[in-house]
Amino acid sequence: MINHLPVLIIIVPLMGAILCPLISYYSPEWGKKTVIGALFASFVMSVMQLVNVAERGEPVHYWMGGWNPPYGIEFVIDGVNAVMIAMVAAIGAMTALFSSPFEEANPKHRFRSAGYYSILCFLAIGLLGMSSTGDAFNLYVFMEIVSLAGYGLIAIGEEKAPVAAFRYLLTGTIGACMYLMGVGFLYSATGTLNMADMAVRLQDVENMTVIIIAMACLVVGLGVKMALFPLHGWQPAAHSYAHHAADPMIAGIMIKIPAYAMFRFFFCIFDESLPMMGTVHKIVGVMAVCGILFGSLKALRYHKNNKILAYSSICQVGYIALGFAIGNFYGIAGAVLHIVSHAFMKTGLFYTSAALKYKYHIEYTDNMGQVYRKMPVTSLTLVTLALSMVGLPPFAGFFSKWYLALGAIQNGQYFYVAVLVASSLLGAIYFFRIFEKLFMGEETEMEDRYPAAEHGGKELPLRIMIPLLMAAAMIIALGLGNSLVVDFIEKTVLEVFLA
Amino acid sequence: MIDVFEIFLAEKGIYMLTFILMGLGIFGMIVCGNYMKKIICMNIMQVAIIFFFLTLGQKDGGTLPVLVHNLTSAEEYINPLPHALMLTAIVVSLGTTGVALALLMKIKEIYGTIEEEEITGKRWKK
Repeated sequence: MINHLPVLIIIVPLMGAILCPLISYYSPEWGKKTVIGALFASFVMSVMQLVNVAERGEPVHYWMGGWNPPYGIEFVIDGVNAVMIAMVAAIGAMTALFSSPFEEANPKHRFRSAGYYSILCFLAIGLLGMSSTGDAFNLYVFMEIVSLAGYGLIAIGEEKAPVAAFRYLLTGTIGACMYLMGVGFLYSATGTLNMADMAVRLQDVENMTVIIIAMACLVVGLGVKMALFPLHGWQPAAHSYAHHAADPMIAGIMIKIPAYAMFRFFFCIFDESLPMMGTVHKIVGVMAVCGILFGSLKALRYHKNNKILAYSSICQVGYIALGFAIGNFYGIAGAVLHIVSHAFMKTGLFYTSAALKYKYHIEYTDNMGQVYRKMPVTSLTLVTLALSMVGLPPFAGFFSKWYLALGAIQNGQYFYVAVLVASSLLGAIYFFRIFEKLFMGEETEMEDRYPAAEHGGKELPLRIMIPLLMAAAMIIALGLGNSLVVDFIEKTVLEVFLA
Repeated sequence: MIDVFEIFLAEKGIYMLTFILMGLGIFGMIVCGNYMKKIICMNIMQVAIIFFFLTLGQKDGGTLPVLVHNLTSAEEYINPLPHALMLTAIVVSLGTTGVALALLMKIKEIYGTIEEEEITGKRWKK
C-alpha cells in the first residue's frame, strides 16, 4: 500500500467525487459524507506520504501502469511537493467539512448538494494532481480540471457570480493555452514531456530563441492562473462573488499551486546557468513588486470583506513571485513557506468571512461593530490570521517574509526589502481598519440566524468552528515550527542549485 | 517560384499562419462585445494551439503510426504523440466550451442579455 500512496491520494477522492451524485440519488446526506470521508482519507494518506518521504530522504517515483519514464506518466514526490500535497488535502478536507452547514443536504434538491460536493472534490483532485505530477502535459490536464471545477464553484455564488466566472473562463483559457504553447515549444526542442528528462535534454539545446519563447509563454500562462500583477484582472471579482463556503479553497489554494508549478519550471527544469535567466528573474521581480504595491493600495479602497481579502491575495502572490525573482536559497525557501502559510491564512480569513455571513449576513466591514462580543472565537481567529498576514511574530506570515528579506539582503537587492516593509505597513492599515470596526465600531441591529441560546451556547455549528480553529492552529504551528518546514524542503531546494 | 513558396510554407509559413490564427482569436476575445462571439473566438484560439502541435508531428512522406510489418525506422511514420496530446486538448476545449455555454445561459437568465455593454452598463468611448 505504501508504494501506491502517490496515486491513491488522487484516486480515493476521484472515486468519492464520481460516487457522490450516484449515492445522492438515494440519500443526499450519505453522498455528502462520501466526499468528506474521501477527502479525509486522502489527507491521512498524504500525511503518511509526508512521513514516508521524510524517512526515505529521497524522492518517491511512481510510474503509471508500470511504464517507465520518459515514456509513461510519472508522479514524483519530493520534499517540496509532499508538503504541498498535505496542505491541499488538509484544506480540501477542512473546506468540505466547513461547507456542510452552507449546503445542507436537501432531499428536494438532492442534485444541488451532490453537484456542489462533487465539484469541490474535483477541485481538490486537480490541485493534488498538479502538485504530484512529474509530466508537463499531465500538469496541463490537471490544471484544466482545477479551472473547470473553479468556474463551476464561482458561478454558483452570489448574483453577479456568473459574469465573474465567465470572465475568469475566458482569461483562464488564454492562460491555459499559453501554458500549452510553452510546453509545445519545449517539446519541439527536447522531444520529451517528462520534467526530469526535459531538464537533462535542455542542456544540449543550442537554439536559445525557442527556450526564451517557451519561458515567456509559461510566465504568461502560469501568471494568469496565479493572478500575478498585470494578469490578475479576473481575480477580485471571482474571489469575492464565489460560493461562500467554497471561497476559502478557491482563494486559498487555487492560485498557489500554479505558483508551485512556476517553481518547478523555473528552478527544476530550466538551468540556472542559462544566460537569460537573470532577465527572467528581473521581469518576474518587476511584476511581483508592482503586484505587491498595487494589491495593498487597492485593498485600502474597499469596505467589503471579500474584496479586501481578494486584493490582499494579489499582494501575497506578489511575495511568492518575489521569492522566485530573488532566486537564491532563502528566496525560494521563503516563497515555498509563503505558499503554505498564505494558503492557511487566506483560507482561514475566508472561513471567518463566510462565518460572519452565515450568522449575521455581514458582508461589509461597517456592519462588524462589536461583533467580538457575540462571536468571540471567530473574532479571535480573525485577529490571529490578520496579524499573521501583516507579518507579526510568532505567526507564520512573519517567518516567510523574514526568509524573503534574508534572501534579498544576501543578493544585495535592498529595494525588495523596502517593498516588503512598505507593503507590510499597508497591510497593517487595511487589517487594523477591520479591527477598529470589529472592536470599536457602533453596534448595528442584525438578525441572528444561529442563536447561541438555542444551540447550547455555541456561537456557530461545530462543523464551522473546527476548520476555523484548525486554520488558526496551523498558522501558529507553522510559525513556531517554521525551521522544521524549511529543513524539510532544504534538501530538495539545495539540489536545484547543485544540479 | 512554386517550390520556394512551398518550402517557405513548410518551414516557417505554417507556424506563422497558426500564430495569425491565434492572434485573431485573442483579438476577437478582447474586442467583441457579445459573449457568444467571445466563446467562438476562444474556440478559434484553441484550434490554433491544436494546429501548432499537429504541425510539430508532421513530416514529408510519413505514414500512419500503426504496426505495419515493413515499417522499420522512426523516419517512416509520423510522431503520434502530438496527436494523442491534442486528442486530450480537444476534450478539454469541449469541456470548457460546455461550461461557457452553461454560464452564458445563466447570464441570459439573470440579465436578459449577453451583450457586455448592457451587463456592465459601461460603454467604450468612441
